[in-house]
Amino acid sequence: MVINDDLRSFPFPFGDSQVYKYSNNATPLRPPNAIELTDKYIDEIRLKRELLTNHPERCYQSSSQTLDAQWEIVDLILHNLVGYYPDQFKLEKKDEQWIFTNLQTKENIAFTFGDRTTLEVEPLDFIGRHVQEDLLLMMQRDGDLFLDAGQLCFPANWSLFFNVGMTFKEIHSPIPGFQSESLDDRILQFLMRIEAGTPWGRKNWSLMAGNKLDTSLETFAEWGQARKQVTKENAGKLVHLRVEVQKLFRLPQSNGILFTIHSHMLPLERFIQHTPWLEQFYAILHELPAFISDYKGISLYRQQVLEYLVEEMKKR
Amino acid sequence: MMRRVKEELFFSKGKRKYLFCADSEGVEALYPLVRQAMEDKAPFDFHEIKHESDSFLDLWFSQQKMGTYLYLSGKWDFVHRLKNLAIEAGFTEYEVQIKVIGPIRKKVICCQCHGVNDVDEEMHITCMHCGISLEVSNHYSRRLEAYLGYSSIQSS
Repeated sequence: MVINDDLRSFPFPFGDSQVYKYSNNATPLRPPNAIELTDKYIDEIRLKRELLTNHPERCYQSSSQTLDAQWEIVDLILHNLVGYYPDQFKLEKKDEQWIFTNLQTKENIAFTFGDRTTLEVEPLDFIGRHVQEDLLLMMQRDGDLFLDAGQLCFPANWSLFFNVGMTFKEIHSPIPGFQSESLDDRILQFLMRIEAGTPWGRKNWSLMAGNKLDTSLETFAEWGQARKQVTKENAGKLVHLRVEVQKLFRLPQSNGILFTIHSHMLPLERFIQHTPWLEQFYAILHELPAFISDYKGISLYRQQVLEYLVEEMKKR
Repeated sequence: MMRRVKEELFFSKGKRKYLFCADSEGVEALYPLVRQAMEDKAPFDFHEIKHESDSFLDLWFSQQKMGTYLYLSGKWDFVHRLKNLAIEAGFTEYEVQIKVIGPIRKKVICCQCHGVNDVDEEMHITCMHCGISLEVSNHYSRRLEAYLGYSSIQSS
């Protein structure tokens, strides 16, 4: 079997489990890097910038009190970039005068750290244009977390425009079963206890009919149509496993939380090349409760995918 | 809470104090609750709001102590205005019960174009801005004071 780069860099989302259930599956993040670069970097950065230009209201939202926290995010991410990818990014600092060099995009950006007027866009919007991750900022007050700013180009069928300003529980209220056994409250309490210097990570998976990263709620009427086209014959190419690598960082000055989401997509036929993964994925999809399948938007073509997986298992 | 506006009010026992607030049409719906507060010997204020200004009401709400519980009853615009003033003054959604007399006019945001639609109680609408079919959801944004309308791929 040939394992190509797309498979090697793909984050395996299932652990040892044979069933899917909601849980707080976050683990301490090692290495504590907010950002990962893949070989799709340039393509995805280009796509992000196009979306931000064409759909600013959909892709960027912020409340005015978030600027300090936004600068903390710039600080954290720039230092991650130059620390983990020193041959691709450079940062020169003289007091508050910073010069950031992105060698892949061939850009040099000089600005005064902390001075919004020295950047063309807000700090969070600026730094988000140099990473593949979506970046969300939650602020903590009154014993709750509020989504107060975000740059979101690759949402899995939700709307930043609608959700900005909401509490953690309000945002997740449409998820069926998320309130049972107070799971929403337990995760909120966990998030509010995250400490600076101890970031956390988790993975979340779904299936997508089609290969678009920008599956916004706003364009669902277009990209959602592909769900009706899935057959047992085309499922391997048309259906993609989508994995979100999510990371959580406490921002020590503002006490906000940075939430980064890196979305990876792989056609099913690539993912199931490895037979143990095929068998595990079949088991999980087969046992997936209907309400979760509905929420993930899989129900319309789950049967076709299962039939495809059965055929593949027979061939092994 | 706003999504429960059509349900009947119930008496939330054991609160520190009760505020009953109604317009002329909403007064009657509060009488049974006032009676219960009296039977429980709980402190309460009863106000029929006529032409009181926002600043007066804001002051009144702001002076209430933690643990005060608020009932609002009246026409949609009235309870909507009072609820916003109460939330600004520090009440949480869990400390307010609302009874709407007459039609509900809620706002629904189109998931496709973000346009605002005024809706009575129908669950399915056509966005007046972009023409897409929407299903009205319970997902509510306090910032936008509106519910989210989802599009569907089933009918198109």
